[in-house]
Amino acid sequence: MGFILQGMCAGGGMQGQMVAYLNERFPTEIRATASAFCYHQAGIFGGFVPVILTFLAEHFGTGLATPMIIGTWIGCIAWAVAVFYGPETNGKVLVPDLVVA
Amino acid sequence: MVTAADLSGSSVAWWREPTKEQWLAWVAAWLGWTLDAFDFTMFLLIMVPISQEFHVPLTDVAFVLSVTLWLRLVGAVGSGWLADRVGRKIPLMISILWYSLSNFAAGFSPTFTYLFLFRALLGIGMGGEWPAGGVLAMETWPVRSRGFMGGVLQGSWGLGFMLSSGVYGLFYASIGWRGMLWIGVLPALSVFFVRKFVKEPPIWLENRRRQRLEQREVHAPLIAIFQKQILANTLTACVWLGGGFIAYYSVTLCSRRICKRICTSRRGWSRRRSSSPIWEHSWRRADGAGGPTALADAGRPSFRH
Repeated sequence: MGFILQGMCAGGGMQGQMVAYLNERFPTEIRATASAFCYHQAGIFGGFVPVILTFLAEHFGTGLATPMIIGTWIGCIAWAVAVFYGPETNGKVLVPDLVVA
Repeated sequence: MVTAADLSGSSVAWWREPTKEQWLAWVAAWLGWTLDAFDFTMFLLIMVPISQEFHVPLTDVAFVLSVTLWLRLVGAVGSGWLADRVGRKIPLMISILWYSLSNFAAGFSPTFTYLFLFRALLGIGMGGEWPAGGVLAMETWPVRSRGFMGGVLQGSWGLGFMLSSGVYGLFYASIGWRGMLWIGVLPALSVFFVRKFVKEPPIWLENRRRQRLEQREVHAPLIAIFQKQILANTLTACVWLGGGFIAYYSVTLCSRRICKRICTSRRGWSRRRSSSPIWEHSWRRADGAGGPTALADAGRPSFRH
């Protein structure tokens, strides 16, 4: 049950807005490149998380729980700060205007 | 700027609002992404027979997945660049063809290195599909339901996984892992659909026209995203997604451990295939289970998105 709930909230809730928000926040000239770069560089970071957390757990002998909590907190704080400073795009109509110099 | 408030006056149901062209563009992106998931996730189901056939440890086979995921960045930036320069359709078609054919080629593998190479190449096509399809759908779709349909698009990854599990359950016994990889060529058929029915987003066409007209072409979008006026936007997007993924994988490490514990306590890893139900297979493979300890298991990469 926990697994399913977690999958729904984390997988669905976090990733659901990605496509729309990413594509709304960048101007048309560079939209595809920007969303591609931002999303996939994050994927690489994410890919290293299990490796790093496991290393920390083994190196410091703490078990997995502590590094996991730390990882989650770092991730959440970074996420919240970035969302706070990111642009609001609710209801934004995508336009063909030239923005990039 | 027009806002949602100005538009919400319409009494049309949101799903009636998009035109046929808009639906077709969204379906193209949806097909690309779902079938992308189909081709990628099927590998999770056939890792064990592959490791047996080539006599390589399961960890080596799992490493193929990590390389596939790393190469997504290459494919994504390449296809994004192309999408900004020559249009959203072409890179979408190239990347769908790319991952289908890579998968097909991997089905002929005489050696593990060959398989490794083609499954790694698949990552480029896989990464390439996402930006091209996503931009095509989001640029075309009306603003009111854009967020929701973006979510459905992204979430359809799970649907692709269900599809590959279904094919595995129905056909694996008769076609083997090579047959599974060969079936992975079928997504290439969706290229015809994209080519015939999908139109470039008018926004992009107009933008491109103006770029030419005013001679303000952005030749190197990858560099442009680090320009002064865009930089803050790019960096917050990077941190936003990076933070999201770090939290996500930190949390899923837990569920994978729990899952692993359930799986191993019920029955040993040594008992594979044959009788156990299909969902249990995908469950176990998806979590990279099979390592000797929970720690080693957790060290494996995650396989979502």
